[in-house]
Amino acid sequence: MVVRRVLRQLARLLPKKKKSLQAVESGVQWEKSYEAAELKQRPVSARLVENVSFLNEVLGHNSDFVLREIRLGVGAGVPAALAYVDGLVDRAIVSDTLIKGLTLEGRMAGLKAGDAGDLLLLAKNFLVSVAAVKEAADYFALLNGLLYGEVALLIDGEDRALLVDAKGWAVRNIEEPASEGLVRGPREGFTELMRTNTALIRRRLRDPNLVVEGLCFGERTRTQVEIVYIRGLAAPELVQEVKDRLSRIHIDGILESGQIEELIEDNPYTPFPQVFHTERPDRVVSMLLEGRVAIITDGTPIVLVVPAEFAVFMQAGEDYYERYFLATAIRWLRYIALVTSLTLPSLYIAMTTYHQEMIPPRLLTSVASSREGIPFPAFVEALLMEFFFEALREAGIRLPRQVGQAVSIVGALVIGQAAVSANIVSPLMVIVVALTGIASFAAPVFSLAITMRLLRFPMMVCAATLGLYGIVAGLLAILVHAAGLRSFGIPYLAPLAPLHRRDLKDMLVRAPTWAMDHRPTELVKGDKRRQAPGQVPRPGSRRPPGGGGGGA
Amino acid sequence: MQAKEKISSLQVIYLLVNVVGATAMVFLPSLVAAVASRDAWLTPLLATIPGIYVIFVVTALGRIFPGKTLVQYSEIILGPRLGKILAFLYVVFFLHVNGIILREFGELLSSTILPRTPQVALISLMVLLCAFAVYEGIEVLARVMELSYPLMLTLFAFLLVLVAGHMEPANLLPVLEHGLGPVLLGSLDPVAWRCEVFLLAMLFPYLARQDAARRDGVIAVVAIGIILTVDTLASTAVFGPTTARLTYPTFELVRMAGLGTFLSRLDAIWMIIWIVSIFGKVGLFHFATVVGAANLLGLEDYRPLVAPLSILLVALALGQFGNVVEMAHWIVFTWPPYAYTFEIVLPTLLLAAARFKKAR
Repeated sequence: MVVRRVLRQLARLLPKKKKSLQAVESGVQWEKSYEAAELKQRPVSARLVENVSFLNEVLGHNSDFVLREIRLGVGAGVPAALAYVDGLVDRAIVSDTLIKGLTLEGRMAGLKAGDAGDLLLLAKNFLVSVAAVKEAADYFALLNGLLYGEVALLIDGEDRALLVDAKGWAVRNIEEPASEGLVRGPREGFTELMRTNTALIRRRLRDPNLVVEGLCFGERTRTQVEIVYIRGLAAPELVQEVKDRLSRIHIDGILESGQIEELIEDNPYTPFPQVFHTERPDRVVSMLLEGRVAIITDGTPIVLVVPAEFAVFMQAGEDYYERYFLATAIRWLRYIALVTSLTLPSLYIAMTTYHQEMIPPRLLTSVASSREGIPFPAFVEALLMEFFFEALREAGIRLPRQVGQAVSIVGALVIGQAAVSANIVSPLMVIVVALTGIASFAAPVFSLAITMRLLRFPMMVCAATLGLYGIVAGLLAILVHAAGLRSFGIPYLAPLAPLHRRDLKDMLVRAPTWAMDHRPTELVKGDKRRQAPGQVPRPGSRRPPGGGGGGA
Repeated sequence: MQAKEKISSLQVIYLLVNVVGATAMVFLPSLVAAVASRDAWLTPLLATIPGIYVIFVVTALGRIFPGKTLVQYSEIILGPRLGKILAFLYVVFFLHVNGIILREFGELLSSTILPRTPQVALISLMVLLCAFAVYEGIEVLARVMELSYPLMLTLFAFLLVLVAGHMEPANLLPVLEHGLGPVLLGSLDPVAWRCEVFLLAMLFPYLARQDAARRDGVIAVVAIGIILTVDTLASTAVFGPTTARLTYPTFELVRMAGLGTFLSRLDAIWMIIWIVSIFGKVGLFHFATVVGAANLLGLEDYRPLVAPLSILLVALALGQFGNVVEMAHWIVFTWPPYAYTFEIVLPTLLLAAARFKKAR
C-alpha cells in the first residue's frame, strides 16, 4: 500500500515537471496562424463589421492589402467593402469598373437597402461588369480568391462575398524558348502564366475534346496545376492514373514542375528521366495528338508530358518540320553521339590500359608517343580532365554573362594548352574529353544528356578495373536497368524492346509525314489512325487522297 | 505461381537462339573438327533434327500442363516423392551447367583479353549482372536480348564478310571423305548443345502465346542450325582441318577480319558481342535455376532465391575444373551423355508417363 501511494505521488509529480518545461520553451510568443481547416470552418458573416475586422486581423498588417469601404445606393446607402491585394489586381478594373459601377451607377439605379432582398445578387447581375465572378461562403474560399488576384466585395447584410476576377500582375511576354532553340518551326514558348500556356495549346488545337482540368497543390503555395489531354485519344486509364498520382501529392509548396515530376514518376531510383518536359507548345500539341497527357504548372514555363519513354528524349520538335532524310540522319547522329558521350572516355581508358593490342599499330604509336611522359595512368588522367570539364561547364551556366567569357578563355587555355604542354595530360585525352563534351551537347533533351554525363563516371571506373569487359558489363547493367523501367505503364525502351515494328518509323528513322499513318501502339487504344493512308504525293494524278481521315 | 510477366514469340526465339549460340559459336567448330575434320559444317545441320524432336517433346508436355514449368509437372507426373527428386536433379543440372558455361567464359576471357585479372572477378561480375537481370524479371532479360541480338547478328555477319577474303573453298573438299561415320560421331556434341533449347520447358508460364511455342521453338532450332553451319563453314574454309587444334576458332577467325590498313583488330567487336551473348545465356540458365528452385520449394516469388543461388553459382564455376584442358575433356566426353539424359531422355520419359497416366 505504501509503495503504491509513493508511486502515485511520483506519478503526480511527473506531468508537473513536463509542464514547467513547456513553460520555459514557449518563452517566444508565436503570432496566431490561420490553418486551412480552421478557415474552411468559418463562414462569411452577415455583418460587414465582423468581416472587415476579421480580414484586418488576418491580412491587415500587410502593406499590400487594401480594404476600401464604400456605400451602395441612394441616401446613406448600404455599407460595403472592397478588399484586394495590391499588385495582383488590375487597378483600372478596381477603380473604373468596380468602384464606379457600384457607387455611381448603383446610385443612379436607385439601389437601396432591402431591395429585392438580395443586394449581392443585384450587384452581381447588374452592377459588376466583369466577366468572371463567383461567390464565396467561407473564409477559405474568400482568402484563396483574394490571394489569387480577385477582388472581394462584401456587403452588409449578406453572408456571402462576391469574388471578382481582376487579375492583373506583371508577366513575361511570350518569347522564344531559351532552352530549346530551332531553325524551322514556331518560335513561341510557354510563359510563367498558366492561362497563357493553355491558350497557346488551345490555339493550336481547336478540338472540343481537348480537356483542361484544374487542380491545386501545395498547402501553402496553392499552385494551380492543370492536366491537359484529348478525350478519345488519351487512354482513360492513363488519365485516371495521372489524376491518382497527382492527388497523392501533399506538400507545402510547388514552385516548379520538376517537383511534381519527382513526385509522380514510376521509378524514383533511376538516373533516367521518365517524364518529358518542354517549353514549346507545338511539341506539347504533337504529343497530345499521340495520346499523351500534359501537366501545366502555374509559375513555370516548363510543361510536363507523360508517359515519356526513351525514344521521346531522342526526338527534337524540329525533326518533324525538316525534310525526313535530314531528320533521320540527324536522329542517327544523335544516337551515335549519345553512345559516344557515354562510352568514349571509358573506351580510351580500356584501350590504353588493357587492350593495347587491339589498337591498330599506326594509331598505337601515336597514342604511345602522346602518352609519353604523362605521370598519371589513363584513368586518373581521364577523371581529372572530365572533372575539370564538368566544373567548367557548371561554372559557365551560372556566371553572369560578362564573366562567363573569362571562364571559357581560362578553361580553354588551362585545360587545352597549358595542361598539355606541362605534360599533365596527353593531347589525345584533350581530344577525347572535347569530343565527349560535344557529343553530350548533341542530345536534344537536356535531361537525358545529364543522365549520360552522370553515367559516364561509373563507366570509366568499370573500364579502369576490367577493361573492355567492364565497359560491356556496365552497358549491360544500364540496359537491364532501362529495360525494367516504365513510364506510366509504358515500357521505357518501347518500341525497340518490346518491339513494335510499326512504331520504328519514329524511332530508327523519321518516316515521311505521309507514312506516319498510326499513333504509337503502346499509347493509343482507341483511335489508332492518324491520317488517311496512301497520301504519298504523286504529281499528275488528280485523285484526291483516299476517303476521310481517321483523326478526330 | 501464375506469372504476370509475358514474353513475346520473337523474344523467345532470340532467347533460345542465344542460349545455344553463345557458347557453341566459340567452342563448337574446333570440337567438331577434331572428329569430323573437313565435314564439321555438316554436324550442326544434323543436330537440328534432335533439336526439333526435343522441342516437340517439351511443347507436348507444355500442352498437357499449360502454364506449368518442367519442375512443376514432373511432380504431378511422378508423384510428390519421385517428382521432387527429379525436380531437384533438374535444378542442380541447371546450376551445374551454368557453372560450366561461366567457367568457359572465364577461361576465354582470361586467356585472351584480360590475362592478369583473376577469374573470380570476371565470373562474379557476370553472375552479378545476370542476378540483376533475373531479379528484374524474365521480361527484362528478354527485352535486353531483343534489343541486342539483331545488332549482334548484323555485326557478326559483317565480320564474316570481312574474313571472306581468307576463305579457301578447297579447304572444304573432299566432302565426306571418310563417309558419314565421323560426321555422326561428331554431331554428338552439337546435339547436346542444341538440345539446350529444352529450357523452353521452364519458360512456359511466361509465354505470351503458349499455342505458338512449338512454332517458335522450331524456328529457333533451325535458326541456330543456320548460324552454326555458317560459323563452322567459315572456320573450316579458313583454317581447314587445323581448326581442330585451335581452342577458340571463331575468335581466331575474326582476328583475321580487316579492311585495308585502318580497320583491323576487330576481335574487340566480337568480344563485345560474345560477352552480351554469354550474359543472355547465363541469365536464362540462372532464371531456370531460380524459378525451378522456387517451384520445388513452392515459393510464390523466386526473388529471395536469386542471391544465394548466385553465390553458389560462382563457387561452382570456380571449383569445378582445375584448368581449361580438364574442362575441354569434360565437354567432349562427359557432357554429351549427361546432357542427353536431362535434355532428351528424361523429358521423353516424362511425356510417356504423362500420356500413360492420362490414358489410364
